[in-house]
Amino acid sequence: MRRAIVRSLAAAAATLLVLGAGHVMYNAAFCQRHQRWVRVTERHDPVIRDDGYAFARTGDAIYACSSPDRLGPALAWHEDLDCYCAPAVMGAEAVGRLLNGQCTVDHLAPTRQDETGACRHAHCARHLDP
Amino acid sequence: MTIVDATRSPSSADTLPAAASATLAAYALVSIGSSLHGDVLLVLGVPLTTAGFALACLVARRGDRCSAPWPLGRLTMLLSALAAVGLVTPALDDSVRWFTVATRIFFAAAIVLVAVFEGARGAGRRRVTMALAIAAVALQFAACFGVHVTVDLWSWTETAARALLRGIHPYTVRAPDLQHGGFDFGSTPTVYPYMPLTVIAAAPWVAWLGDYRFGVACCLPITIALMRRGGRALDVDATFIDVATLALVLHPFGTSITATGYMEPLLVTAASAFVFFAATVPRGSAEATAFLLLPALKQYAIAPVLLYAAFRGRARTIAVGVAAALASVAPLLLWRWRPTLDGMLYFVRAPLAFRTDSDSLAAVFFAITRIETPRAVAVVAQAVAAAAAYRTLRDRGLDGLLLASAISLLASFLVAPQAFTNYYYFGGALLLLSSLAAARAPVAA
Repeated sequence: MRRAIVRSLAAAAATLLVLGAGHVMYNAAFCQRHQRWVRVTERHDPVIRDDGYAFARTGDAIYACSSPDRLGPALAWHEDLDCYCAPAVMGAEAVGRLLNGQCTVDHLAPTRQDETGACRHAHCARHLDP
Repeated sequence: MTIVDATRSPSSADTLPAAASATLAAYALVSIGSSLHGDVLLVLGVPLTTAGFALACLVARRGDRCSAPWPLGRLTMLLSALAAVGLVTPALDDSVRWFTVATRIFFAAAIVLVAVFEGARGAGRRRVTMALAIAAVALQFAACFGVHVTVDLWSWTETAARALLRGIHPYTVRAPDLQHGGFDFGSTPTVYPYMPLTVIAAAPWVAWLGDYRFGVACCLPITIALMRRGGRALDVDATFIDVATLALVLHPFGTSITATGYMEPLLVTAASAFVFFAATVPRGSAEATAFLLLPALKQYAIAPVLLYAAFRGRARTIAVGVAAALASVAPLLLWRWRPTLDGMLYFVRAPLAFRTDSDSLAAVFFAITRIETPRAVAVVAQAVAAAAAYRTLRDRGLDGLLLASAISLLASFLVAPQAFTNYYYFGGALLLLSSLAAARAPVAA
């Protein structure tokens, strides 16, 4: 029985290691939020996001936020940058606290027609609620 | 000594048939891969799902020539891997804390209990299986209270079912957008886009308990009962029946499927009913009805019907099955045919956008090349895979039909412009049922 338990725990641990390795690989090579950060801060692209399936809801503002992407509490990989939809009444500071990062208001009343700002056409990465 | 006696000798008590075990491993890979979302979807999720599909193809090609019988320990390690993924799968949005905690405790306990299962014998194994099955069923019902669902699928099904209960044609109503314009996937349905039988199945639960997900939750216990009885009728080793039951209840996303309101558990129950009837009354009307109800529940289940006709077809039983499927559609068609057809064919006719977040090779291909795979590729893939699988498996009987059905569906999902975890939940379940059928004791010469 003990051998079976050790084997089962080992299988679970190995599975979690593989998942962890997948996350590490993604963050090291494919992290889209970091790619946005690189594109905007180093290549001076004015647009953070103009794609995706999430849009601002009625009453949402769009916040452009940079936040450290962390592996656990201690190690910060790199900086991420993306657009987030959250109620306009929340304010940039409160949204930044939710993400442990820093935010600015990109559009206070976004619409699907927006051609200006860093977060175009009311696109955002996801919705944040207080 | 007959072959049956030989397979039941004490020395083989902890080894399981190679083809059945490999098919169950394919199920585990598909289930794990399709349960991985977010950052690891394309780097791990799709590759693992594809590996499961490839393993299923290998089993189809080689059958019991795959390898020596598998030790039970290898399968319990797979069960442990399923539980580990379930343990760390992120909670659905709008899950309440107690439900998330209960789910975590279930999967954590399962990692230990599958080891207890391996170390135990007969009755002990059954007790562990039943304990985990009962806990999984309890979580299914708890999901209806523990997750406040706002997806359009739930909103549409609830609205259509409530309309039917009020005597309004369910394909003439519009569902409210519970996400307040928060999502746009490139096509907003103007009509209930699913099959009539799903509304008919949902309506009693909406009337009785106010949420059709309770009906979906009932699918797991019914499926378990049908699977186990079917397995016994096929003379499958009790340990393998238990392993298959555990594999079903440890699906990492099983609770979330119900919590979201996906209808695939109904298809899984119908497929389990098919196995049960095929084992107890082979080639009868009951098995035909159960199997031919699949496309009456979900539009994508086309090739399996053709495979059924080719594998086990009898004109009379097929006629009964087709009549049952049509009976689920005819009343609404006769009531108002145009909106009913608009809804049933919505996914065929609507200009659906390519989903870059699909669980599919098509999404990986898009991420690399920015080229969208045309929708027709999925249809062609299903037909070609079904034909190829039939050619290879036509002499393999019940497990061959289920494996061929799984391969045809998984092939189409993997290249589809839209494919999500619920699709693979059903495709995977077909693999699981195939493994059960493949584990039947050899018939004495």
